[in-house]
Amino acid sequence: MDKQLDVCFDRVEKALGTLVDSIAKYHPSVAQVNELGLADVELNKGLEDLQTHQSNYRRIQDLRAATTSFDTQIKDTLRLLANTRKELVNAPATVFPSDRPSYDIDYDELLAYASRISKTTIPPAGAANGISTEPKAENSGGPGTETAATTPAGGTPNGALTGAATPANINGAQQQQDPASQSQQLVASSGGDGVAAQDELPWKLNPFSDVEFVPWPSEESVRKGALATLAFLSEKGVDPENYDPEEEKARKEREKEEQQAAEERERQEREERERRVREEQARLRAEREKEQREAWRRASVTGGAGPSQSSPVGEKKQFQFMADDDEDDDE
Amino acid sequence: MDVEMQQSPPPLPADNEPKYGGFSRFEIELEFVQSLANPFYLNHLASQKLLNEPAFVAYLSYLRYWTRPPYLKYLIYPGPTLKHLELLQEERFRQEIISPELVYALAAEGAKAAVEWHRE
Repeated sequence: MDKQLDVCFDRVEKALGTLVDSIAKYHPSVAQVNELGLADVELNKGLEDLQTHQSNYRRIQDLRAATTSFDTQIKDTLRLLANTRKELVNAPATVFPSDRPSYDIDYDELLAYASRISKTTIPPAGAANGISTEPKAENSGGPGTETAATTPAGGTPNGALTGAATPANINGAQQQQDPASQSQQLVASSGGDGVAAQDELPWKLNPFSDVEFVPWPSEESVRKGALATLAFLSEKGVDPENYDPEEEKARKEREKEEQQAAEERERQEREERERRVREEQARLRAEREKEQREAWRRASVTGGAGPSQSSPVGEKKQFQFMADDDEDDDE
Repeated sequence: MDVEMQQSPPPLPADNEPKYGGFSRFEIELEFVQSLANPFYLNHLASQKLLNEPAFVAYLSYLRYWTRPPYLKYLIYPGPTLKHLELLQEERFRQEIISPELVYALAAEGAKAAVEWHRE
């Protein structure tokens, strides 16, 4: 580009020089003037080219910068990709032992199971707050620490008492420590066989939550369970096989009901009999009374008195009888 | 129970199945296997000298069907239950669970795990 321009300039310069020489020699020529004009036109064209060239050059530079940045980006991406791949390859995957069978587990089933065991596998939310299961420094080394854990039933009420007596010991750690130190004193003579210090059991996780939590069936529930029932039955000498207390109870109830029904029937029959006897007696009595009344009436009629008003309350039969009698009297 | 050892695991709960003292075999075995999660109960079993009896050991081995579906999902104390069931297959553990220290260590570990497992 520079050479091209140089040529243009040279041409203009030469034309100008020739023209100036010719003018200096007082012998100008039109051809030389034209030559200068042409050279000037050429120079202008050259300058335009230069401008284009410059803008092209600038564009090239821009493009180069863009390429560089894209290169960097590609490199970064590749590097990231490579690193990620490396990480992926190195990521520890769960190794399923080939000697054990694996099972397909339904997602819903798994969630249902998780919600079912949430009550029995972790302590209630309030109870786990603010407790630490770290070994307590104050208790370390003492052989009585385990004993503190061994007697949670005895230790806990003590702790509650101590807490009530000294309200200053509000924090749970202090309160939990008290039964420990107490039982430590209690068993100081018996301990000392060189056992390692254990963590104190968080039986009462939060002393204020009043919740005892253990991640297994409590002794109470074991005592109340089916096995205890079976043991009780076998102690009574009952073969538990095919023995169902519920059915047994139902059977007894059924028998009792049947007995009651039989008694009821018998009672009804007895009442029926008694009723019949009573009716019979009443009838006999009524007949007797009627005869008696008849006798009285006859006696009174023969005695001259009017129709007796003394017995209008008799039975219907008797009344009819009397009515007939009255009619007879009226006639 | 000796008879049951030779049998396959009990069927899942259904109606009209034979009952033992009002409980199905499934219920009884579920309760027992979960009782094993309690370290103090293990100690109690050891103190009854049950853990030395071959029949009882065989029964413990038979109870391993609880580690597989479809029975697995009925355990509501899965962690300690499965752990102790596995430990009980070991002769040494059966001998040493008579020691109170081991019982308390197990109990402390279980309680601690229940509180801390999700804090990791």
